[in-house]
Amino acid sequence: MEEIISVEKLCVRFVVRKRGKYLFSPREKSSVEALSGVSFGVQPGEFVGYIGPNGAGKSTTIKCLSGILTPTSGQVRCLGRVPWKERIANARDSGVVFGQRTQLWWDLPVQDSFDLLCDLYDLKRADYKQTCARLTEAMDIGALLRTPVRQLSLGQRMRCDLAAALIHRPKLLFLDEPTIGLDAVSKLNMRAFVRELNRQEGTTVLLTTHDMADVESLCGRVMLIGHGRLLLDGTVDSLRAAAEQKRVMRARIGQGAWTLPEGAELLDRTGDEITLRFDPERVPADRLVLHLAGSCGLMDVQISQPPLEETVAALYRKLEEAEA
Amino acid sequence: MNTKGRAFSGLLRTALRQQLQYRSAMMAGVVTQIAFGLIYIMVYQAFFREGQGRADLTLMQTVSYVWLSQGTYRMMPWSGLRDIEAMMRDGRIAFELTRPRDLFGMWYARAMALRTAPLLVNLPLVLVAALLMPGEFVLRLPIEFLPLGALSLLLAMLLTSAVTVALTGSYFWTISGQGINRIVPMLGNLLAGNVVPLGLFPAGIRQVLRALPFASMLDAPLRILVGAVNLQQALELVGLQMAWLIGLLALGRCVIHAGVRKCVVQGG
Repeated sequence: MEEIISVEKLCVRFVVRKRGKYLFSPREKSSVEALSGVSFGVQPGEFVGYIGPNGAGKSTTIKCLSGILTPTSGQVRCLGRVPWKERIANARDSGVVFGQRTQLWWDLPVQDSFDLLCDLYDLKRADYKQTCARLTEAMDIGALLRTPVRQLSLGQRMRCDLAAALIHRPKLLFLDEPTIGLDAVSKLNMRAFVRELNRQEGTTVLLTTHDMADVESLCGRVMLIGHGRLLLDGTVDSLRAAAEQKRVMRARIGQGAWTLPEGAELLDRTGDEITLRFDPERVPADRLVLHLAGSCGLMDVQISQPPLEETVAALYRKLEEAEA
Repeated sequence: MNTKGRAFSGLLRTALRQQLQYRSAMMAGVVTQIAFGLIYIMVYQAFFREGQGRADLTLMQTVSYVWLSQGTYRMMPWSGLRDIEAMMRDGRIAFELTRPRDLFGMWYARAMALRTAPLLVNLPLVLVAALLMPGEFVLRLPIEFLPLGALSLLLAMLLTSAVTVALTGSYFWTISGQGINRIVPMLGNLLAGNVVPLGLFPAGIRQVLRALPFASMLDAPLRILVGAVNLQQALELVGLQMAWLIGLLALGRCVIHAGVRKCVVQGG
């Protein structure tokens, strides 16, 4: 199948002016490489998570893909077009949500912003009415449509913003931190909605986020970037595999003295409950359990993967060390 | 309607709604304009009593000129588009670039709404008040100049909108409108006849000022409306307005296209 997004050796360099050492000394110009040679392709209908620490170049990539930014070098094609050269044609087929910013008109009721988008994208009235009704129901914003945007709460505004990005039914959706600042319920609703959109309409989604639960529940594929380079491209499991494969064990122990074998460490202890982290490569689970059972007895055992958050944090740390 | 026209009128409608959102502010403006109109008129009455009659406006025309300039006060290019300035500062400008539209057209529609709203609300209210004024304070508009005057006023609005967009484009370089929003409107209003009618300037200066684009934004339509010109002069004024309009639209376009090329939206 033809790729919907193809990126080759994308480079973006910014000039940053720093204040000189003294008040009147000349400003130091330095160039910062936000992206240094990123390449990837996305198939139609994919749901791709794009993660990396702050300043890794995630938003910069999205800006290049949506035609807002002209890169220093490299090739990009979205639906066969070069986004910054054919910005207007590209805009028709793609929708963008920047979670930290709103695209709605601050002083006006939400409905006015939607109506304007209908005119800007030149949608057919009947189609627009239908899409609008569907989005209103799915995002549960019917009661908000006549409220001025400035009087909406963050969660309400975000739902309206997502609806606004979808009014022209884009084939390609860029979500830049869409769940930032949302409460648990709103996050779940947002995820459910985007998942449905991807499954039923086949909308291709590129999602950047710092919330690993977003990635885990939505993305079939994850790309990790750091320092402007693509470091990893695969499934959530392959992301886990790339980090240290440690496990966490919670156990309730009996009376008696006990020690820990090599490769396991104590994280926490309250009364007879202990939490351990162990490396199955060095001490397999059965040996650890037998070891503890033999010395003090085990009432209860629970072994789990560390949360994806920690895995990713470990990956970021590894990355920092490699760079240093 | 074609697709460009639809987007343009949609934006114009939305931006107009936004302009009309704050009604009490608008009413306060009208009251202030009427009060200032009265003060100006009293000052000019004193001038005309003592002056030597070398102005090319009569007192009666000056009174009407003052009322019209008060009614169109907010039509003048007082600043660029504040919304867009805020967007440039906080990065929402990115959304403007994700629309399938030309930036200049979108901003021109916003500017037109900003400059038309006062014509729809302030101007009629001020004119009604001015028509009800007693004796020497009353507004008089000769009927025969109304159609051409209205056309000229429309052109003036298109001109001030073009300047508004060009000012907005300059924010791409300065990020803040603080500087240019102080200099250009101050100079512009003086040169347009919004402080003192251009007809009351000394003859030599008058000629120079009237050749500048600012005169086409206010002085030209007001002179036609109060009947201070003959038909030929009126047509010449309208022609000059059209020429400046084409020039300023071209300038605005260039500024914005150059600005977009250098625009970088920072941060997550």
